[in-house]
Amino acid sequence: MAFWEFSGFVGAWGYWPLKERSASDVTGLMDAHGIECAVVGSTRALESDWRLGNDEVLAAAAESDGRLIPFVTIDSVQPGSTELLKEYSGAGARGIRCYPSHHHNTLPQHLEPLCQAAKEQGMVVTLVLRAIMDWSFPVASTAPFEYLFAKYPGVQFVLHGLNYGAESWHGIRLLNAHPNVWLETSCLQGLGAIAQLVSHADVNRILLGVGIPLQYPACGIAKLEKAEISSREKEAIGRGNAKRLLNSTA
Amino acid sequence: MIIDSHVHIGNSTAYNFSANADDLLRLADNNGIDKLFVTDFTALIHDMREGNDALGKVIRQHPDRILGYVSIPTMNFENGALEEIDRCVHEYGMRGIKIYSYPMTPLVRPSVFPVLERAASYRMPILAHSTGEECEVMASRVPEAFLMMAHSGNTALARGDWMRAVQAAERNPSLLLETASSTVNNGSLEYTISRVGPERIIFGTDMPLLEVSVQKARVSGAAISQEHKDLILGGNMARKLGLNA
Repeated sequence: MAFWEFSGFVGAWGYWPLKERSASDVTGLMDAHGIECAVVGSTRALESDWRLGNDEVLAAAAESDGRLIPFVTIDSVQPGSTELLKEYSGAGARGIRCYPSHHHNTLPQHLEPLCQAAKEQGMVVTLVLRAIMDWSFPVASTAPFEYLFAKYPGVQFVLHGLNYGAESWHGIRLLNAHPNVWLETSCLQGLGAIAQLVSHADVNRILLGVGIPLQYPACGIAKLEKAEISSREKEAIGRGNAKRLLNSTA
Repeated sequence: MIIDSHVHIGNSTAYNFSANADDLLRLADNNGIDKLFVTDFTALIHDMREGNDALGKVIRQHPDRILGYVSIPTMNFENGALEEIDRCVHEYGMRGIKIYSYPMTPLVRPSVFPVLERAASYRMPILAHSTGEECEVMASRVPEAFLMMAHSGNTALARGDWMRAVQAAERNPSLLLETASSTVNNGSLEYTISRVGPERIIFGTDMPLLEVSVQKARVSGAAISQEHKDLILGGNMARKLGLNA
């Protein structure tokens, strides 16, 4: 299977020595692990400068032959953010990554204009609750943002970064409550986590998350390949759902 | 030979798992793991003696597949730990000790050092659910102990600071690092090898809490040599325990 992964990054990384940072580095790593396409955000947008970061992720996508699918980040407090989103959409961005885990300005009411603009532009909205599964990283709750799912039924929301225990059960509850909510798997590390998701929620809204290149790609892939679910379900999670989501919002 | 050096058996309402020996061996078989080094969850957080006895019976049923840790929570360091180690070694042939901060209290206290010394006298590994700072103290006070830092800093307790764990190992040649963790940071194993070498890294999965395939892929999928993978996945522990790899 040629995988599509929904939780990738490009850019420099300050937390530990990491070799892969450019578009070609990341696509090289994808090649080594059978990943055809990756939704990517900018590490710079996560950490320091969302405008420069967006420029970088759009440039990286432009040199990747369509294999890197850019998601942008916008400081929702800034005036003119919705107009900016239209510009980014015109430049090829396919979605927004919002980081309530990292960006202290990210209040749900600030996201409302962006949700409206995302709907108009046919863009996916990703809520990053945990950027990668690292115990030194901050974690956000979905609770303040839940009303957005019902208020903007035409927007497709992806929950990024849930792990085991109550977090995964919370994700299952949200998937079952809102037909426009999806969930990616990059931080789900509990035993049998994907099979648990599939048995309790709609398999057609579960997306393979790997966290390339910040997390070992082999781990995210093994989690799906060894999951005790059917081949059809693996195909849906590993590729089909992401293609359908991105095509439906194109 | 692949040895998983971080395995739990028993029941945990806190972590929502229940696993007996058959469950664990099925997971091991599905992931190509030959031997499991196991600690009993009841012994860690509820009743040390009851849990260690339960594990002892399992070891007798599966002597070729299951090795046992004597589990000693912090609350028992001052209360029967040394006698329990002796009992489990002689009665069940347990091969290691697991020390665990339960209740959530520091492992480093005066009463931990006799536990480390007793383990050293048996040449037994000690799997310590701990932090880099604590492991530095323990390894420097009892350098003859075969101390392994569970999760290598990748826990909430250790604030996810795996680079601090590597520093602790650099400064203390007797300290080993165990791999089980939710954290799968790309390049972390390569970095660790570059600082302390492959001989001081021990493979663990934390089954049945964590997805076994992910934990194994963290080693097998890393950009390191097959020789180093073999050492980490089992060679190092087999050598330490005198097992035929």
